[in-house]
Amino acid sequence: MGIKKKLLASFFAIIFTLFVSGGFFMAVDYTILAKYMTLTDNMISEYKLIEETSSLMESFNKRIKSPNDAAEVSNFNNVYFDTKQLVAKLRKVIVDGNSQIIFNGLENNINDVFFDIESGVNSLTSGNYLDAVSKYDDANHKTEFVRENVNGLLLSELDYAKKLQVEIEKIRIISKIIASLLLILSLIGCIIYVLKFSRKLVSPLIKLTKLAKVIEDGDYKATVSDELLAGDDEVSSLANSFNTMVFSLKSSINRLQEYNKEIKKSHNLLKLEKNKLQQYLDVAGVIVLIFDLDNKVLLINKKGREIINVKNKEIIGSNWVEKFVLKKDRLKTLESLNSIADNFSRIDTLENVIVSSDGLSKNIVWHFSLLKNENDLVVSILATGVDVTELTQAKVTISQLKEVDKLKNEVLNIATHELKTPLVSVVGLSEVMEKQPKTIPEDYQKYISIIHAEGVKLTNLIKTMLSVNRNEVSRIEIIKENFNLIDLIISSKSSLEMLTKRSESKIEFNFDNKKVNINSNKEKITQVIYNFVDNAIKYGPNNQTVRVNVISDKDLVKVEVVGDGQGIPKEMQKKLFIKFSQLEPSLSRSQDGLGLGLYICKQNIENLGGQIGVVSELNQGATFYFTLPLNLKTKI
Amino acid sequence: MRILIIDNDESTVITLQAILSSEGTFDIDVAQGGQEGLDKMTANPNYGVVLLDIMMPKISGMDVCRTMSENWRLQKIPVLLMSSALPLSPEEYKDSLTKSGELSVIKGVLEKPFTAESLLSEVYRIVKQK
Repeated sequence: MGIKKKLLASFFAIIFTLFVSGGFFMAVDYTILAKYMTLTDNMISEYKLIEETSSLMESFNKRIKSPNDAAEVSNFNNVYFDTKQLVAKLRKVIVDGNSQIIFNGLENNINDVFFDIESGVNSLTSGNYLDAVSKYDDANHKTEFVRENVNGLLLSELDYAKKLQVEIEKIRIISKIIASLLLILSLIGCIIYVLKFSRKLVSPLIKLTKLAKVIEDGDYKATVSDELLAGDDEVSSLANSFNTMVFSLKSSINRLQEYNKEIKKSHNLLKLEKNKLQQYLDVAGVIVLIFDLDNKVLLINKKGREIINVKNKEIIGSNWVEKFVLKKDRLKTLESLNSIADNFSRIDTLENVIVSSDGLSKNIVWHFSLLKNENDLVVSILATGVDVTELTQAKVTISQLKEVDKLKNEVLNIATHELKTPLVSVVGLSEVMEKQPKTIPEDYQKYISIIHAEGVKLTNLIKTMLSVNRNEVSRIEIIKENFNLIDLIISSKSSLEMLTKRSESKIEFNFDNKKVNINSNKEKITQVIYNFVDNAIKYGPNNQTVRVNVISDKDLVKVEVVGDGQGIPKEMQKKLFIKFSQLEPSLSRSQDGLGLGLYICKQNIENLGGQIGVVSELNQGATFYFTLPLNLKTKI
Repeated sequence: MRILIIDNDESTVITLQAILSSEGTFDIDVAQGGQEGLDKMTANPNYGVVLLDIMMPKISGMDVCRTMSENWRLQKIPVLLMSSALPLSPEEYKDSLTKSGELSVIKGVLEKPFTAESLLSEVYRIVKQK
């Protein structure tokens, strides 16, 4: 039930009680008043009785005096009857005990009167006039008693009336007191009810307020107690709503806590990533520096800290340009940074000098890039710096060395070229002379052939030197073409066979395939094969058979030149392909050459994407080989 | 067949003359410099081969080649270039010079010093091509 209804019900209950009690007292009052009125009636009747009695006596007297007067007789009869009636009526309505006793006396006396009158009437009828008169006297005498009795009755009744008055007064006072009491009681009841009601109304509110406070303080497990929820009034509905709100709040908070957990997780991951990043940055061999647009350092890696010789705490937030850049370089640095920040997306480099906290100067080459936020605004600058201090010093040395080297090469070039021109005449003319044996004496013929042979040797030495120089100085791109390796070898067969003539050896070719397509350089490959065969003849015994084998594999081709001979010790095999190496120590050299042949071969083959090597056992000859990638794309 | 030798080095000229004349089949003219060579060719453009040295004062062998390539009368005369200072191997150098088609007069390159044999084989090769 609603509070409003409850209040109305209580109000009506009070009104009802007041009405009932008022009615009760009014009823009591009325009863007494009725008695009082009866009493007044009685007193009037009693007063009448005196009058009736005197008029009875008077009419009896008149009858006696004129006994034949019929009017007087009927008048007397009426009065006599009325008087008797009155007495009978009075007997019925006497209200109190004391009056009853007096009335009994009265009744006796009046009955005596009636008896005397009746006796007098009888005497009169019988004509005994005197007796009738005496009876009249007796009766008249007895009316005196009646009068006295009526007076006594009146007095008694007055007394009783006084008593009733007192009683009414009493009842009125009592009813007033009771009414007041009732009023006071209902007032008290009202007050109690209001107090109780307000407590009932307020205490849940206080509880709810407390609960709200508890929830506000973070205890989301608190709920409204069942006692508040029970009932069907506004408070319980408020409590229910409150509970619903707490529940939804709880679920919202749970959700928030879930989110919070997720966020924490992400945050932890982020932290891990950041640590990882920091580690990566720390491992990095370059300085990584992030600073804002006021040049305040936001992040610096280990390398950076080491170079500047500071701790993380000391540098974060400080202006790195003012603090660590050499005074001379500051303006340049700031200008460069400004131009980078102004020119969006441009990345720039700068070299400046950083002074570490212990006063050491370092040349750093910086590379700047802009870091932008999601709105594409530049927020910070990422700088990576490389310490080029040693490099700068080394550069000077290197450039000096390069200068010397260049000079050396130039000198060598000029020297060899200058040597070559006279050799044209030495070789050419001696050759011409060799062809004219008849006109020249025999001894001189021998001398001329020596001049020619030595001229050719010198030519070869110079050519080898120049070819090394060419390989080293000008690394010009090697021109490649598609061709069949077998065709190339076959075409150079005759020139290779020429080589074998001087030691009366033979050459044998073995191809496992007729077509070996490669994308390479004919001249370089010919040079290598020529060199291998030349070596096999030079270092091998006379009358041997040199074998040239071509073995093709899935994606490689291998060319071997197998020769007999003393073999090459293992420790020497590695050195073979190094510049100026020859098998025998210089004093016991049995063969010519600079020891550059295999070095050039190695360079050629490696430049063509292949590999070169040797397999040899002592006294079992040697197999020199090279491999080249096959051209799998084009078919010739 | 007429052969023109253009080289400023006297010994080389004598050697070339000796080698070529030993064959007995060539008429040999000699020019001591680029300008002289061009004059001789203009006067008589019927040379079978011109042996041309690259490194010469004033007008180099390359200048001679360029002039020849621009002159329709001289365009057909084959040239065998000779040099002691080649940046590449002779074959590669020839390819690099003639690749663009500008110096198509160059038919062969010889690196100094060369043997009589290689000179003659190169001369015969060029003559055959013609």
